[in-house]
Amino acid sequence: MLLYIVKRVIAAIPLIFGLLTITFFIIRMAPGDPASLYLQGNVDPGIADRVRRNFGLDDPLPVQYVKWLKAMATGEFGVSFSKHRPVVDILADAIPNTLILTTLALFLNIALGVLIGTLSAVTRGSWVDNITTVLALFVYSIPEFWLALMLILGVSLHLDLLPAAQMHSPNADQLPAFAYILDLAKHLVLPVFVLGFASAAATGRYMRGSLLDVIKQDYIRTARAKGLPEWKVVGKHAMRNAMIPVITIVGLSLPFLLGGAVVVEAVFDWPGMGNVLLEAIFSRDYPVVIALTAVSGFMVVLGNLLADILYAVVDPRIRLE
Amino acid sequence: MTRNSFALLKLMSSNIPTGIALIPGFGHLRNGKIKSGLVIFFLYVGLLLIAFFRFNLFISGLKSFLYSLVLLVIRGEEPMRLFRAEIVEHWIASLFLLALLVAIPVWAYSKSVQRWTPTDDHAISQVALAWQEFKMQRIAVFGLLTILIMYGIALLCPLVAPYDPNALQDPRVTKFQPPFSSVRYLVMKKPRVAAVISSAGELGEGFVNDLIRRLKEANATLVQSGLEHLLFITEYHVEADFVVATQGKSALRIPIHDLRGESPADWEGKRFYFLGTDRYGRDIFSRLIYGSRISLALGLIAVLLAVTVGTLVGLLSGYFGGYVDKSLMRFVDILLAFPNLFFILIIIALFQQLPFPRVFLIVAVLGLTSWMGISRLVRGQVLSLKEEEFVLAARALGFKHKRIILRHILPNALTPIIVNATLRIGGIILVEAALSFLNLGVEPPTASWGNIIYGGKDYLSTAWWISTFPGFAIVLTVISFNLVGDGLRDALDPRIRI
Amino acid sequence: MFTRYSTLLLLFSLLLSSCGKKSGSKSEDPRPGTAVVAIMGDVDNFNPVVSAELIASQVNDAIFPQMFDVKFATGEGRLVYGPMLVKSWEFLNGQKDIRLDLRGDVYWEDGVRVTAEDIKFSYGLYGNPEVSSPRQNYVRNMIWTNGKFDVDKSIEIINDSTLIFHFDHTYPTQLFHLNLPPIPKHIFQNADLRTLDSNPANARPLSAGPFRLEKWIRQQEIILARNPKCNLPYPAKLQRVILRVISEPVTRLTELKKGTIDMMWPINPEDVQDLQLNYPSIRIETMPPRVYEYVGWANIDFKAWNESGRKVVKPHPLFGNKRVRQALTYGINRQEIIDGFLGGYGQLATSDISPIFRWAYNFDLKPYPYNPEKARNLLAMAGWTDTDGDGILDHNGRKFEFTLRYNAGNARRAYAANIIQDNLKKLGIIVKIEAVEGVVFYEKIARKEYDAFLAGFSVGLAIDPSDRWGSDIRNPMNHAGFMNTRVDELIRYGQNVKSYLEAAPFWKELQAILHEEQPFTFLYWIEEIVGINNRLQNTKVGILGAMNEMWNWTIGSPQGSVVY
Repeated sequence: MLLYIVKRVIAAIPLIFGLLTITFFIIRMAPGDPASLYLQGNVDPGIADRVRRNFGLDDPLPVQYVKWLKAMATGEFGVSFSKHRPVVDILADAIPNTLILTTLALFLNIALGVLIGTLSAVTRGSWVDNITTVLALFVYSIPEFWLALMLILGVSLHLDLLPAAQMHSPNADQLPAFAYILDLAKHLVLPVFVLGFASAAATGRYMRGSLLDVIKQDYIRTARAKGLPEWKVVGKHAMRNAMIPVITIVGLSLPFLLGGAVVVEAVFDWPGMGNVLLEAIFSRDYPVVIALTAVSGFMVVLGNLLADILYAVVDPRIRLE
Repeated sequence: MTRNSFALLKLMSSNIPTGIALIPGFGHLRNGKIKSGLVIFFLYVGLLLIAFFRFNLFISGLKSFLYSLVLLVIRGEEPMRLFRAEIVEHWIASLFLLALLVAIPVWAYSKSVQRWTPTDDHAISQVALAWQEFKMQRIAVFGLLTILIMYGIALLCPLVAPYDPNALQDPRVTKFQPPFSSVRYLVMKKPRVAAVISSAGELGEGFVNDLIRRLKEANATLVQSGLEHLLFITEYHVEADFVVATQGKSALRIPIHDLRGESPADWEGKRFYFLGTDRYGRDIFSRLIYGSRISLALGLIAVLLAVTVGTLVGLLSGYFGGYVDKSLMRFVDILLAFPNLFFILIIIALFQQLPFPRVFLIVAVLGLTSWMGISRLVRGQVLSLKEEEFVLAARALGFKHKRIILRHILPNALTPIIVNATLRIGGIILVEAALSFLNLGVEPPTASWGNIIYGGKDYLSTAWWISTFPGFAIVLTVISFNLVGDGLRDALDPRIRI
Repeated sequence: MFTRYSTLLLLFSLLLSSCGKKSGSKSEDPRPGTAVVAIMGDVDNFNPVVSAELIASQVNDAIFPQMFDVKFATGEGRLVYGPMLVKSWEFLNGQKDIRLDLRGDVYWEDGVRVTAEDIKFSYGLYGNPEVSSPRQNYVRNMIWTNGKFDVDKSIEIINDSTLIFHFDHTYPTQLFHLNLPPIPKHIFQNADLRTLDSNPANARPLSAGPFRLEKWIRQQEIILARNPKCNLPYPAKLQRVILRVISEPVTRLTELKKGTIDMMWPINPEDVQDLQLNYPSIRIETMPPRVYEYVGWANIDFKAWNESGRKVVKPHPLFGNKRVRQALTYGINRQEIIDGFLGGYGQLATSDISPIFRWAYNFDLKPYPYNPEKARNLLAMAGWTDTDGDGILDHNGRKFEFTLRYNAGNARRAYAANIIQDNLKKLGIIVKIEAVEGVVFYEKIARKEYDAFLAGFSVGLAIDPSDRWGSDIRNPMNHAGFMNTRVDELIRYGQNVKSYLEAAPFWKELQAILHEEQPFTFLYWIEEIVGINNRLQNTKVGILGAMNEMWNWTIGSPQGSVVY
């Protein structure tokens, strides 16, 4: 097992390297100049040149590339062009915010997905199944940002139930601990719902298929023949095996944990990775964009790895080669 | 429709004489295929209505195409000078409508005359079998019908859309009209802004000059927005020889003889907005119809691109194996490691300054970031097909690789590709909408569903209809594609067939 | 496995239900002594020497010691200066030198006194090319030696509380250039100048003003707290002012309506009526017109100029002719844009000197009316007619077609661009619209790569047309490639008088020339709309911004009886 993991990790290294190289060249060859930020207002044009020199944008591309590789090897992401602070600090600020949002969304996704899928599989062919299938499809087809806007308008503005933006209320830092967490929870409801709901529809369909496959198996028939009540057959025997493919979703969702919330973060002004990325892209903040790509690429690779391992752990039929 | 009335219809239709099968749909009805018959009949009636109500545009489009074609043949570049991009969409629409009007009755008639015998099992091809299977799933057929109608409307859009989607006139009066509302206007004798000063010489006599003159006339009909003579107003009343009209807060005095005709009945009018207007006073319904072109075409083309690249890579990789396989799959691994939306955002945002419209960039990026899954799928198929006896036999016979791949492997690997592609289109339409929302979509004033939503989002609390209807359109389309995809999977996958 | 998930689901639904309850009764102030302002983007840093963003300078005004108490005298239309850190000042040497006497009782938060040394040190940084301060041009009329700003010759320290600034000539806005806030020398004296913008001290500034920075949660909140030790002029009346970063306009407006924020701008004119009718607790105020928008035309052939290494200067084939530019202005229905988008919160512009400068504004000039007939005749006089009957103007085989660019995401400019496209189509001119991503857009304008573009500008509080209208085409601010010797003369005259009033006739003539030449089509002046919750009182929304004199804000009655 350990050997398998080590092998997979080593195999992932050139993958990340290739990913970073492609990103670097794509970004550097794009039009646009970060120093132009300084060209607005009554500024001496010479200043822009000096800024460019300070950023190291004067070197030829290959030289920049080699310098950058060296920096990456030492774990040095550099300083943000537009925020004037280490990229690591920016990520350190944003990552926890995104994680709390996406982890909860993932939980909602799986909990709701399993529920819908099971309901739909158990009642296969009935109107309950048909309605859940169509509803799930409907939810899955709604553009995320549109749902988010509608919820802000309905739940937040007209019903005045929940806050519409950000993570905390103003002055939240002066609240007692419990009230502080409650405040955070209120701010989480809408974005978590939007993020988790659509993917729950997909998970539900997945779960339904998986459960239907399992129910056909012999041992389920045996369990039924034994005279076990239906809920016990499904809940105890079938579920256990039907969950296996669903669990791998957890692994495959790892990159989603960091990068899946761009649009939702933009609508709800959630101070996470998505907003950092959008801002960095629009201001040509190369170090930030590269760091974000690196981190999330890393998550993809790690996620696939984790999915494989999880699968192997849960399903004894799979041998590790 | 209840079971009884269905039976009644069936009874009635069996008495329909053969000749009546010339009317589209009635042939099917006569053969007892009630639902297909009704669908064909009402679709055809719809097309006839379009041709009737937009007769002038329809005919002008045909004329314009015909004259241009003739001029192109006899005079070379002559018609090119008068050529404008918006004319092409009229040509497409008119030709497509003509084709449909002719083809549907012919097809329906031939279908209804030729008798299908269910016992003749050997004659049924794989495709027909799948179609039979697909037809069993009512909801998937419904999805397919929706998609076909949507693509049809997209092709016919200049004839279907009631108004010009981009033209604006008096926005301070027409803006933010709610659905089912109308705005009053006065009709002026002369166009509001007089025609462009022309110093073009008069065309002489002769066949060619006559043709050019006719072409110009036809084109002029096509490019008119229909707003040239209209003055949109809030209220008006007559004062002696003047009409005093108000546009919001400001008032206008117009001499009565500048208005068309003699009495209010001649110069008054109302323009009806089915789904309301946006902040420029443009008709949402028309924009929705024009916008469907972008969203639908973009999804289709991007997926075709992904399928082409993905299939090619998958075939090569799976068939040849060895180093080809290893290096290609490694490359696929690297690309798969790019977080999808991140990657798309970065490329589109960084490379948007291009000499061509951004639609092409979006299509390319969306297509080229979604082929990896397909290539893995195809590779898997090829790997298993490679060991099948018929492929081994073909190899033993010494056929060329190209022939084996194209004749023996590809057709058998098609099923999962088609299913995957159909399911993917919906996803791509959603991504395009998200890009528009981040203001990285198709640039205005060109309408796409995503950018209509974007344009209305700031006014959600005051003008909800702008962003709401395109949202529904997206949901409907994505659902339809998913239904069809699911249906296809069930129909094509022999394992599920009972 | 399943039971574990259902527990989670249960927890989550509990969470959901608990959120429905409203906390406390409505009458109780949810945040006593605190005002919340929504801002569109985070500040870059809290160092007035290097911060480049407008919002940062507005916040810094409340944290750093202000040299003068600057007010805008609306009646006269000019800035007036009162004592602040500078207790009194005196012009010497025929106004070429200014002596400043500082207050002796102003301290940084850490107890160190603010002295003349701080000011000299800070001006040294403002003028140092290594630092790349965006405010470098404030020192351009002080003493320079060998092409470098000479801080020792420019600033002479007499004692801790007295210093003399030396200028190389006199001009009306000298005091304006002395109004840069100082930063503490004892904190920054050993800082690396080239990385001053990423110096960690920029994130925790030492205050000497009415507010201090209590907490900065990047991308989320800037929490300013009352600085009880402040003497400049006195500690803020509110306990806290919280600036919340909310970039999505829909969300921002929602928060204002819900009362979770107390102030936001800009508000869409479309939303004003809704706010006034349905939200009586919110008042609407406007900022006087300091921002104008314009269509920039390439007066010279930018392509030829750029391709020849910035040498060849010849008229632009489309916009090089004054008549064509006038025709374009006649042919654009600017009032339609004002009525359609600005909803009355705007006025037609004749040039780029704002009507707020009442003493300098040329009231004799009348804006061009919308007159397509006249536009068409002017175009015909310039040789533009439709010779081949395709409905598009042409001249010497060239069709009148061009691309109009604006920065993506700006709804107002998108609106204006659409109207312009439609207006000009009726004249037989084909306009393509392209929304360009902001960074690229401003870069290309500065490099003169766009022949026609829709942009806006917030004018400074001191009139200085030299960058924009001086004949130096290489100046990145001369967006039109404008050259006019008479204008050069006028700028020279206007900048070499001793009092502002003497400059008035020069600026008026300048406006007349711009009006005639139409190097841009000046569209309109914009009055930005600010929405304020009535719980926030004593605000001073005006030319100096919505957050001007934040330290006088109070919660509750306008008399400020509730002071926390």
